[in-house]
Amino acid sequence: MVARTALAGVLGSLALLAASPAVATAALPAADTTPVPVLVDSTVDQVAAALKQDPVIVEQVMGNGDAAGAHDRLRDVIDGSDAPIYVVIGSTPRGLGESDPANDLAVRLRSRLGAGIFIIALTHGPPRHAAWGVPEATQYSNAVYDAYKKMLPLAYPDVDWETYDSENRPRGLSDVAYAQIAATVAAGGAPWGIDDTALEEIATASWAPLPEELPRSYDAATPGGRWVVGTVVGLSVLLVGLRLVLWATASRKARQRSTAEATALTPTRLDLADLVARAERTTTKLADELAGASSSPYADAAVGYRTAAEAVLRDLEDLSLPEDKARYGTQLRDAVGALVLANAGRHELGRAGKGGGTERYVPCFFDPLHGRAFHTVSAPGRAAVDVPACRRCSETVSSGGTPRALIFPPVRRRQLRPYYEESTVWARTGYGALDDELWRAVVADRAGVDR
Amino acid sequence: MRWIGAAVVVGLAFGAAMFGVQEYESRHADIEAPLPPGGDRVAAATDALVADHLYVAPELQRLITPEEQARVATAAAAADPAAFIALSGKGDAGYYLDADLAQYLIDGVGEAGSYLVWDGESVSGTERTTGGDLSTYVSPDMAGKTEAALMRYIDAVDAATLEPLDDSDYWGGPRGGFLAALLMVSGGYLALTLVVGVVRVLSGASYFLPGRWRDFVTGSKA
Ligand SMILES: [Zn+2]
Repeated sequence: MVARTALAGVLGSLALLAASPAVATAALPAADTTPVPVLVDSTVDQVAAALKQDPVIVEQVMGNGDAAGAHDRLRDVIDGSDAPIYVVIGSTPRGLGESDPANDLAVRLRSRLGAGIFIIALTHGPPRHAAWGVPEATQYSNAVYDAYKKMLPLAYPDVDWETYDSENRPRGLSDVAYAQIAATVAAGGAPWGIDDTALEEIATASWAPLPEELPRSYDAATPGGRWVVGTVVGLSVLLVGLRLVLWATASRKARQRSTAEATALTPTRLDLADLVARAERTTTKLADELAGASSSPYADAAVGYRTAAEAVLRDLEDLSLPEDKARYGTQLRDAVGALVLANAGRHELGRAGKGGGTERYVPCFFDPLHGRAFHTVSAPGRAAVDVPACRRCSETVSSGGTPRALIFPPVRRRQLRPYYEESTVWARTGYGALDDELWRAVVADRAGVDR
Repeated sequence: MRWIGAAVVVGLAFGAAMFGVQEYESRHADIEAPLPPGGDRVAAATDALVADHLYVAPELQRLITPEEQARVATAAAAADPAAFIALSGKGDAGYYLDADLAQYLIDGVGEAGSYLVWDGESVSGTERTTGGDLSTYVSPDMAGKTEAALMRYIDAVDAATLEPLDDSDYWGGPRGGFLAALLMVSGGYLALTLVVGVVRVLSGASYFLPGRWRDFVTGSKA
């Protein structure tokens, strides 16, 4: 572009010398016999001479793919018009101003050819139309601009020219189409204008729009690309779809379980003072009963339970407040344990009376406060592990739910979980549900802690 | 119920895949499709290249004398791989970019070799090779005298050889495309389960969605 402009500048300054009127008149007769040179090699005088022979010049370089057709169409329109009309479409002749060569050429041609309408589109600068010596010359100019503006939406009905989208915006109309409008308006004479049918005919002609970029081979669809797109789309739909089907058709049990898991995780309501009071009362009763009991293996076990319960209760003489979360939690766990120990002890004594006929005291695994377990169920989530459960808990499990487990208020929220997932002696033994001799485990644990 | 759902999903997946491929093809034009008609200058240049490997537009004749043109044309025709040169000018001659003209010329001439299109004023032309890849880079630099620049280009083409095209595409053909897609989908699915799982856990539900893949195999109701 820089090179082109510099070249045009040099040619322009040279041509200024040649473009004097004397040279122009001298050059005219020669043009009748010699073949018309291309515009870029012509002086303005040579262009004027050529226009006298044929008022329409369309060169291939600006012909939008059909220079001869454009020439004939323009001739059809202007032949027989009142005012002389000249059309020059092609390379930029020598000796013209750099900034607006088309306008420059129109002015210079007018001085050689006289009044008329000049329609000029060159390889450099914007296309121009100018009228001299015709009625309402300015109106002509405006009529062409208006027609051109009306033509764009006709030629590209789907394009919004207001929003600038350089990526997908079409290139627009060719100078050939522009010249066809300007020539049609010019040929109609004043009052200047063009009827909509003629305008639409030009706008929708195959030669009107500038060609777009051709599809590139590197951008073309390939077998690999087809497989990538097909597999990604198909497999994604398949995976997600099947997963949703699984979810939707998951048995009611499984869904209940998952909702139960979601809702069961709230701390069990517990009253520490009440628990301790109940544990103390039961332990006192156990001690009273032991005083009158005769010797037996069951009585020995009951003594063990009493010892353990009393040991646990000793730590519960000084009750803490719920605000002291860690100590309060430990005391809650111990209070439940003391109560279970005392109940188990009393149960052992009862077995002695019945000659050992009944089973040992086994509390509900999910929450020992539920009372004795008379059933065995699979632990939720661990189908291989059987745990003892009270009647209600076993019914919940067999209908697909998760029993409400004993959950202590956590120190931090994310620690919210059933007691049996903790790491206390109570969790390990399931408050006796998983251990035949809870009292031994508790005593051993206490001894370990003391040491 | 589960199997009906699965069948529907399989159908949907097939439909989606077909639709995706169709969309892909509509966005990436088929190069096998015929080019739109090129116009008078494309025809003139094609005829000239078929006849003597060189086209010089009327408005660019001043850049290179007839004698120089004859020498360039002879050299271009003698070059192996063949060289085709179009000095095509700059304007609106029925094609948009010089690369578009090169594509028209390759299509119209139909001979393997190197095609150079130059507008007569840019510092560099546009080179396209067809029938393979040139073994060395051929500079389309047009600086200096036109004949010298064109001879430089022809010598460079003559010094190179035409290597057969590596016919696999970016993805490495259907197999590569399928494997790449497999990786993408598995990565995407894992990421999705992670996000869904974390959201579920944060809202207090279980990490995994109800229902297990093995349910399809075991038909388990639980
Ligand atoms: Zn229970």
